[in-house]
Amino acid sequence: MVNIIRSLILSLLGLGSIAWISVLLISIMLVGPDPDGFLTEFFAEYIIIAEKVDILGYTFSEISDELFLLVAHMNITLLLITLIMTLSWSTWSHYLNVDAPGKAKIYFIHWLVFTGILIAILLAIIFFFTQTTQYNAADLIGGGGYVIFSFSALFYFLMYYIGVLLGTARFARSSVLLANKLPGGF
Amino acid sequence: MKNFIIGIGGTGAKCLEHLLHCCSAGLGPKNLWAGMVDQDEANGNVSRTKILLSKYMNLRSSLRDETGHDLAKDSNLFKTHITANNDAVWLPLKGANPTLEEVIHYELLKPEVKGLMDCLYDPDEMKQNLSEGFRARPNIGAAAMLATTSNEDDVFWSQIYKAIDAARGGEEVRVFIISSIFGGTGASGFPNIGRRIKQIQKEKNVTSNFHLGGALMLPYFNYEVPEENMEGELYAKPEEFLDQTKGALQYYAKLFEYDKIFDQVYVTGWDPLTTLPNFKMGGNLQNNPPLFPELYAALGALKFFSEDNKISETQEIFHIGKNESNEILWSDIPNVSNNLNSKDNISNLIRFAFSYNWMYGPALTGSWSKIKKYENENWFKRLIFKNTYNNETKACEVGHEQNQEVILSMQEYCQDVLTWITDMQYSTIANTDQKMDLIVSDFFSEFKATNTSTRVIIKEKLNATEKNQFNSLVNDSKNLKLLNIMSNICYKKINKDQKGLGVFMDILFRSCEQ
Repeated sequence: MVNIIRSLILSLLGLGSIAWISVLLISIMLVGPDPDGFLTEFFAEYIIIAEKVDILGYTFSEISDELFLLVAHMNITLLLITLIMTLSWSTWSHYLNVDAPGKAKIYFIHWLVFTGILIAILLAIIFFFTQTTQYNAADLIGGGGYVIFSFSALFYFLMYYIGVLLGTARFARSSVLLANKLPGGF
Repeated sequence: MKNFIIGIGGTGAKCLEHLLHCCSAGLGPKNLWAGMVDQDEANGNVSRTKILLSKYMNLRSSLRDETGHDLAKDSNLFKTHITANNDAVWLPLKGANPTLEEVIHYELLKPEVKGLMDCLYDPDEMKQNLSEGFRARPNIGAAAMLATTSNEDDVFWSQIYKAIDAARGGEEVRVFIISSIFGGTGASGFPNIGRRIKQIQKEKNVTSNFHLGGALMLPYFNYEVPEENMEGELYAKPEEFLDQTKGALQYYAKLFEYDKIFDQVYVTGWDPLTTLPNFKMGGNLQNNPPLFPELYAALGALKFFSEDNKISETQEIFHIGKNESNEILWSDIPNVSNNLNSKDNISNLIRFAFSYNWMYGPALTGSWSKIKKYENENWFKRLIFKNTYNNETKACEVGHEQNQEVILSMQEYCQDVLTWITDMQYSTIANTDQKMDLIVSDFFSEFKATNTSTRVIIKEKLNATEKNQFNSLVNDSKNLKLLNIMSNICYKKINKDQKGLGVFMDILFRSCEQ
């Protein structure tokens, strides 16, 4: 149990190394970013289809709150899923039946499948939020949707990878890509 | 504190075998000198213990070397520093085919002494070739021992003299003798060697710091003697064991009543007697299995050597028995002291032996090109690579000859441990109604009771199903799996004094604890 707790702490540290960016973004989105700030400008210029907003007779300030809420909710969901999946792997790695030298490599396949599932879930969540009818603002997301799609998927995968890299049980490190390159005493 | 142990006869040698394994499990004192007494130099039991003693000493010196591989002081693995003479066995009678007649120079005796000898010994006994022991004739053994025990220049006896000198110098010295009460060498050696040691103590005027203990094995086994080709042979007759024991106990009762020779005596026996399938009169074919009662004697010796054991002024006689049922359990094994749990240490050693022999030993055996596939694994990095890395050659030297020698010696020792416990478990209960399930051994070994030279065959390789039975290897409630061992070796803290392969060996040993 001590080893599992140790793994979870390392995993959280790994997640935290970039999760703070996500937490900061979510907080800003929930509070509402500075109207003249970079984020507002970025959303206005790259995410929203300005023509569609004009055709529908809205102004950006009218739909921005809903758009920011959409982004905040999507990131909360992605963060939670990443957190759960990372901590689950870190815990599960202690129960992988690595009972002999050289056996950890076998579980690389398990890790690949697990990671594949996470990526699929991440993509599904992003897809759901950017294409949903729950948020009217989703309808106004244009070509910038691909930016959200790919950046979010990459960002949360990276977060997960750092988390499992540090949090995987020492004896199971050969099951995670490059984790066995970590120093022995770490 | 200096400790000395002397195993007399075949039983004494077999008890020493148990004691050596207990010492490798960390139940022994800090230091111990071990010696054996047997006229039957080629005896299979004695040879087996002699080889084991040599393996223990060599492996320990390899793994307790501050400049090379070091397990460090705190490690329980091979804790006891055991020393022995170059030849660990003392032969009371030297020469090719000694007879009692030659020993006492019968032809040169005065007629009246000759007459006395004729009363005490029949002509067959006088002419009996004693190169294979005293054949259950303690009267022959006693005469032979008494004729030869007083030589201070003898390598064996010089150790006893040194021990007594050390006690005179103020150092605490404890000497322990183990033998059977029946039979020949043991029965004659126990009282005579004990009395001789006490006599030397008196001669040297040592009144304190010196303590003598002993373990006497009452009958605990017998065997069926074939009817053919035994005409006129002198040999230990099992039907005489009980009578011999009765006589010997009466003798000891008188001896202990008038003379305090031993400070503590541990008496052990067994009922029902274990029936050994192979009768051999002596020599290298007499290779009897290790039996559970002998473990009691060995643990008695370790209790005697324990620093917690306060030896009183009065002579103490301890006896021990198992629970009343027919089942021999872990709880029947007594602790050496309050701090040393015999069951925990022995089961730890068994788990270590298993995991080393089948899991980690093979991974570390061979050249670097074979071993390097593990170089990225955490256990290997932490425990092997870092500690066998040569900064000058910039290479991991685990595959080098001197390291391979230690790795293979440990594997051999682990096989000895597994053979010992398996043989003891099967042989103790053979042909009786008893049950003994200290460990589950049928999945990794084969037992052939009638094959004297190799009763137990340890499988060379185990399949995955067999390896998975590791958690039920020791019949206790720990349920320790190989996965737990792997996890432990990756996380156990390394003692900063540990070096070389000593790091891995100790961590693996400690990883077998829950």
